[in-house]
Amino acid sequence: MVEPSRRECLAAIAGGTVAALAGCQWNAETSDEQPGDGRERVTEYEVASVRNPDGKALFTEGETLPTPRETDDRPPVYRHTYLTSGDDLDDVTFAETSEARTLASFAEATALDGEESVYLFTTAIRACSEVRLQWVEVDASGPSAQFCRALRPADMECRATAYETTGFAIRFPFAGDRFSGHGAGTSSSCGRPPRPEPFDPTEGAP
Amino acid sequence: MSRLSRRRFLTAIGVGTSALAGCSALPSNGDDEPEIDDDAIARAIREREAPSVPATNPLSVPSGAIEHHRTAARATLERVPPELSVPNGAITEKLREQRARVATELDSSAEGAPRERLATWRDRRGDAVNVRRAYEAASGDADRGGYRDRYDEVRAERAAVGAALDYRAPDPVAATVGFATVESLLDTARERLGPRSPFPDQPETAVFAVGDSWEAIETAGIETADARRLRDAFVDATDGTAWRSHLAAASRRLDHSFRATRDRVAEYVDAEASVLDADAATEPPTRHLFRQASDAVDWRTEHANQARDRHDHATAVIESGRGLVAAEALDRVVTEIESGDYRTAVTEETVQSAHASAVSAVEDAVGATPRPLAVALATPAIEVLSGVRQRLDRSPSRIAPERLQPRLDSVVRYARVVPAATAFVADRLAVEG
Repeated sequence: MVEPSRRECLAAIAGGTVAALAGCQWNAETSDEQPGDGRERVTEYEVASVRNPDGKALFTEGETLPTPRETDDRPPVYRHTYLTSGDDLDDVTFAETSEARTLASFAEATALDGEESVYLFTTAIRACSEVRLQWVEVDASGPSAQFCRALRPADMECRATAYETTGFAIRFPFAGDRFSGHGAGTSSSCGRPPRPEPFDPTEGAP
Repeated sequence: MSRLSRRRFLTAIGVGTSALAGCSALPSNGDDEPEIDDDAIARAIREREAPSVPATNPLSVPSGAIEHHRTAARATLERVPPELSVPNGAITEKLREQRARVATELDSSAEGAPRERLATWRDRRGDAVNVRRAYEAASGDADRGGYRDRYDEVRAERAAVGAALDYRAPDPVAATVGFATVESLLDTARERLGPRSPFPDQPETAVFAVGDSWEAIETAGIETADARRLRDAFVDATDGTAWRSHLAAASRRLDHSFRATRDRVAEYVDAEASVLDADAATEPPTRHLFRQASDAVDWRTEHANQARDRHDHATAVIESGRGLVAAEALDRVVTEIESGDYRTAVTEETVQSAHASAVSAVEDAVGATPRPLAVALATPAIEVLSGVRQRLDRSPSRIAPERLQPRLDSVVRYARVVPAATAFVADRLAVEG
């Protein structure tokens, strides 16, 4: 059997052709590609997002969640993790809030250990702003999510100096145990539309 | 060696280019090289007077034009209460800050020559529009229909002013220089009216985008009105001849001249210094000088083509003239490098000397006749010098002598061709039909 090329594997991921992934076992550790090379947009993913108005932590990879503060300081809740197995999920502690339960349920409903993986992200956000997911990409080293910050609508009642907490769970249609890492970026503005993809003649071909 | 395009060349050498760039960024104070005092260079350049450039543009700003802008800007800003408040506290803060900043601007006078002050007041009117419309959107009063109507109106106004330009002036040179300014204003307005993000579907979720959209079209309208004002004041004052078809013919002739001149140096345009037959071609100052001279021909070609496509005859004449200068300057740079006459040593003294030579060469260039045309052709060199000055004012400690010196050298090479090119263009403008 001819092994599928890395490009074919990535195209399969981007196109959601999960079955084609069986032969995709390139080794990111030995890749001589520079970071950013071969990055492909993932289009077949599911996402859940939540917002806690009290600035409370949603999850942590240890056992102790950060304690909420009674000030307008930025709460220390920033976390992101990539779960590829049930063991990974067991290492995550979710808070006892409805928003955290939403993320936990989403992760629990993911077919880890084989077919799917899930990325969790949480950060503090000003009460008058919101975090939006712009796009998700994957390269040989792993998936990455690009977020942006935007002001909430003008008619949304909020205090400029207050903080809240927001969280995302992104379900990928592929196992992630071959990846060496994951990443996230947050733009300070959502003004620019997502970066257009280059033309790929194999995409949508009969 | 066959000529490689710059793009192909960069692709071909790939990592090698990065390596070279990295080397040039290394400190140059090796065992054999004296350490260069960047601060001393920056200080010396900033202390030196900018070149003296005579005011030669025949357009004058009509009395009352600036006051008109100031009054209109204030009337616009008065629609926004200083203590405004909307439910979103962050938007309230930002709008209050913007309003306060614009109010301070409107209470201050603008600096510079009359046309620069007029431009500053156009920008200030645009700023006031931005705040007003963003506030309206935040208050739930975004006027989508009004925006669409105003867009159509400004676009029609701009087209009407452009179509009515007959280039009336006392002589072809005055028509060229004066109406190039009018064309430039209308072109800027056209760009503002170009494709942009649609008016937000939910204005209250994008109040600052609403402000930006309104600012673009209203500023285009203000620029169109100023283009008409400047033209009317010029035409009323001169009672001259309509030079439209004359300039159209001259711009065609000069375009041919530029193409023929550029053909002489075609292998060096859009190329790297490696095409040169010279050992020094790999040294940073040589590479930078060559790239400056080569790119200049590229840019002028693009600008001249765009002006001709827009039927901006006056701008096309000037851009072709600048192209002649750039092409001849490139020819001379190639000869200078290949004959080994270009000095590649970079010291505090050579950089300061290069700057002094650039100032002097520009002043000689703008002294050529007809002077308005000489200034127009020399403007790219003048702008390089003012750009160098502005960068040093902003960050005097960030100077790259091995780049700055060839940049100044390129100004000298360009400026020295301006007098002859000015005479050439003036002769073509003087030709009947």
